[in-house]
Amino acid sequence: MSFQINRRDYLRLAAGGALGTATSGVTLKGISSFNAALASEEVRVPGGPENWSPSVCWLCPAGCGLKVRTIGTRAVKIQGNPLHPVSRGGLCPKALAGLQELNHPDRLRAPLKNTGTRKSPQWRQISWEEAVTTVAAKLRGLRGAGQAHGVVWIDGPERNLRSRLVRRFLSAYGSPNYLTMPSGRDAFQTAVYLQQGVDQPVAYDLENTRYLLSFGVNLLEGWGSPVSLMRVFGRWRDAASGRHTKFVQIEPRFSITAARADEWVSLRPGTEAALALGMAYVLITEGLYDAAFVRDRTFGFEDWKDAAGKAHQGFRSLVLSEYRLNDVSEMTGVPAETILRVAREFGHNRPALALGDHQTSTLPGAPYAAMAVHSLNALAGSIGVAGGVLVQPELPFHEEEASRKIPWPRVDETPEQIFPGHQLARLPQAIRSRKPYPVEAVLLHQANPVFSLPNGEAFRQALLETPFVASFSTFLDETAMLADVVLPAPTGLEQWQEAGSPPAFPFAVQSISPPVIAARHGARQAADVVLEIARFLGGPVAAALPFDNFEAYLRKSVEELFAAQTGAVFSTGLDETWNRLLERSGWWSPTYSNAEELWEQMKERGGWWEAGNLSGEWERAVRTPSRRFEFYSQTLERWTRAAGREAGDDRRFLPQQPALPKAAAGYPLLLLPMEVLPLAGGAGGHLPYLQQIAGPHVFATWDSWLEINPVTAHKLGIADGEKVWVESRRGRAQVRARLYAGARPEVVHLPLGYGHTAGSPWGCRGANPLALLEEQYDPLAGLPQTTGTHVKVYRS
Amino acid sequence: MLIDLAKCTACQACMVACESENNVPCVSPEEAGRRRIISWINLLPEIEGEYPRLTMRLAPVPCLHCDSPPCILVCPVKATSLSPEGFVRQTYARCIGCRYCTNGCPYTRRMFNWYKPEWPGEFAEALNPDVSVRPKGVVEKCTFCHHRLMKARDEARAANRPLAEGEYTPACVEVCPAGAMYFGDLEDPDSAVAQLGRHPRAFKLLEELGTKPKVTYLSEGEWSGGERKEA
Repeated sequence: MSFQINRRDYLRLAAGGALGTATSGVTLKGISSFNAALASEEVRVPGGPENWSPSVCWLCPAGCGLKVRTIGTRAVKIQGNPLHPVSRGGLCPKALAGLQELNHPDRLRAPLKNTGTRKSPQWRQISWEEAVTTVAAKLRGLRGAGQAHGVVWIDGPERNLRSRLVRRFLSAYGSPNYLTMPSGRDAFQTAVYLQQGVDQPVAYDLENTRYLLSFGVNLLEGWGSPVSLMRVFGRWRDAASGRHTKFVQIEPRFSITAARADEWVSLRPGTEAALALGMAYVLITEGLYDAAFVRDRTFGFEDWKDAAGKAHQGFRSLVLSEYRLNDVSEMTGVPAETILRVAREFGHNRPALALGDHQTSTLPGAPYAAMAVHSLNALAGSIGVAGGVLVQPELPFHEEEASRKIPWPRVDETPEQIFPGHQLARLPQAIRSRKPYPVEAVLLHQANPVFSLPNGEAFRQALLETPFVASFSTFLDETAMLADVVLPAPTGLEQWQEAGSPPAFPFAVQSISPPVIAARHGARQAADVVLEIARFLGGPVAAALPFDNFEAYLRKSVEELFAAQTGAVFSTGLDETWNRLLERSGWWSPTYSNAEELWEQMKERGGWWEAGNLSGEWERAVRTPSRRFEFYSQTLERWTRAAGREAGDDRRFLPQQPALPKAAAGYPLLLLPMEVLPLAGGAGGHLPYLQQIAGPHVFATWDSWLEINPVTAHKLGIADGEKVWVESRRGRAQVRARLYAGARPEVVHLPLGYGHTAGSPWGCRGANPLALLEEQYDPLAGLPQTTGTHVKVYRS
Repeated sequence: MLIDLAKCTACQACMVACESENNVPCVSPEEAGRRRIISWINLLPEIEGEYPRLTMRLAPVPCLHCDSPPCILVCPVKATSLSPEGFVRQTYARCIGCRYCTNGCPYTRRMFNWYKPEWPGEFAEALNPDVSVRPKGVVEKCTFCHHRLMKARDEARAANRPLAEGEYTPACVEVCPAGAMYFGDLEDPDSAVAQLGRHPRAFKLLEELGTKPKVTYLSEGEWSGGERKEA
């Protein structure tokens, strides 16, 4: 049916507005088509019913709620789901660019098999049956040969129920190796474990905080769950209720977060810990700390004696002797008056919060520094209280016990570290040294460690040596290029979506949504493929996963959610206030009476959450052996002894300023990679919408830019927009220089997310700063460091 | 429209929301480098000072839909005019591409289509059927998502009731994660935009030119020292 034009429609068109209705086969023509000379643009919109369906964003770990408009087989608009408690109808630019990923011309069109060599792959399209059988047969062979533990699964964006399904598969199969991509927040999480004894994710009640000190946390540029952060920021600054929360950003670069904060404190890179301890000095000397909290709830503040009668140094005397105001001012480059004023404000405005978990891990020796920042939270009494640091509530699902105990350690454990942890970054070393045991197969799910980890090149080399590699991926990215089999993964709109509580979000959330449109290019959901592999393997593996598909697994999980008898389906703010009131007085009045109703309502509204109380759970928040917050980490002391090392100086168990990286001769400038919101997490370079808006403050689009201070640039004879070389001891890259007054004179910055070498040509622009970084790990937990690299910059 | 600069986080969600709502094509990287990106709403950066004493203002600027728009005065073919609701509209079929209006707009919120819009691969499948695609050679600009108004009005008319506040919102306002953008009827003194428009922080861009913009901004403001005003 073609579009009939009557006079009324013509007038509407002339007004520059809508064209037609969206219900049946409509020919969409540019308005200019009335002008025959210009009649060139024409887009067919096939017919079909119009729908708005809820979905869950898949482009970062936050999992914001989407509302997607579909017409027939097409998705034509992404908007926010106003009922979703994380995003409340708002969205970030990444989510809005999601349709470009869905319709991306460079998506994988079929499963691929590498018929060439690992180094120079030749790709042949194969059927799904062949692809799944190849992977499943390989896994069956390994299991039969007693090599099941040598299988490694690397998950890109960690989800809740999907990750549980994969873990269940692996434990039934016999592998302990469910690995996830590292986050810069790991360092802070380490500190929280050392001082609070908690290994669950921490969360913050930012909405009720009155004073926020952010030590380099890129709060408005992709940190945590970006949309909820922006919503909170908007609430802090509500015109009606007054601006009662102050947000101070402490970082070397004048980032967009720093520009939007109430105050920016610039400091020498890497001295955040010293500044935090300098502020502690002010709080202690002026008596501005929460004395009752410190007395009743903490350990190691005052000097103390252990059971053997040995005297130990306390936090107070450490700070008073080593972090005096003037010394700290000299170390950090921050004027003493500023430290004094900010610390006083922090002491006077409660609840006050200090954040130290930067997502791009920008501190050498980060866990010690994170302990320094976290100690401010203890001084302010902000642990386990409203407006403070909380432990994220656990979702009421059962983690399936392994059908049999797996007698193998995880392959990426870090036994040589004092802190016995796991680090994906250590996998290449494990693969190449064949220790603790040989890795026989690596399965990747939407993970691209070759591009997004500082030791990506080591990953590449290690994967070249791995006997079998398979990747579930939407694009043929750098890591998928090293695979034997590539299985096209759908985007979030084409599959059953789910997400647990977003990072740093203080409430338990479980989002679930059905596919919005049919999967393109025959892509298949990885979870469904895993279930199919389980059926192929048979025996205990199939018995552990008796589900026809992922939908059936989700349904069963929702039954567990119903059985927990708590929380509510997403609803409007008003309903939620009412629910919260009821729950506070011991009532639970759900809108559903059985699991089936809960399932239907979750599908319709986007999910379930528990808007519980935020505070008062000291037992959950602090689980150290002493049941106190530990300025002096006894856990760290115990681990040190367990590792067979001399405990030595008490200061090894107290917060401290780590040693700073030194510039090598000939490399005078410090390179700090930075995260920008459109490419947050280093992802999104393949989407034109995001490339266009990547660097608005320096007019940068479609290309990396080197932020360099104008004075430094002048000395080096570099003009704005000029192509320059950035060279470290590891390598060099050519990028465009942007003179930016917000860069420190001795520091240069490169944005993360550029410089792909595979995937989509749109992403293959600019330079990947990670390729310039020297491989460094912090000594405590083995976390990869991204900030100790010095470079030289010269004209090309 | 009203934009509270104290709340704005400079995330640019408004820009992408607008582009996908209004079928704004992405230009090639080379053309983008020549600043030929079409974005009906743009983030205007203004950086002052030297390290470490710096300020940066980042204001989203859509078409301000002036009451006395200079762009209309200079158009030789009456391709742009004020609608009865007060929108500055563009009639693409009449536009001859002379670009007088792009020069006439002091806010640079009018963009010329230098090329035929292109949608590589399957990108065209995401096109919004409610909005036309503009051809090469015409000027385009923000419509305040006028098609949404027509849709909302039709729905209200079908239900035989007046259009309620909040029923019609442009895509940029709807998606703003910080809630920094407000939209409503300026002639209704009780609407949020009209009320906030009387706030002491309210100002308009280049008001001295006499353009009478219909977009009001609230300036940054300052921390109120920890005191919470009772609402």
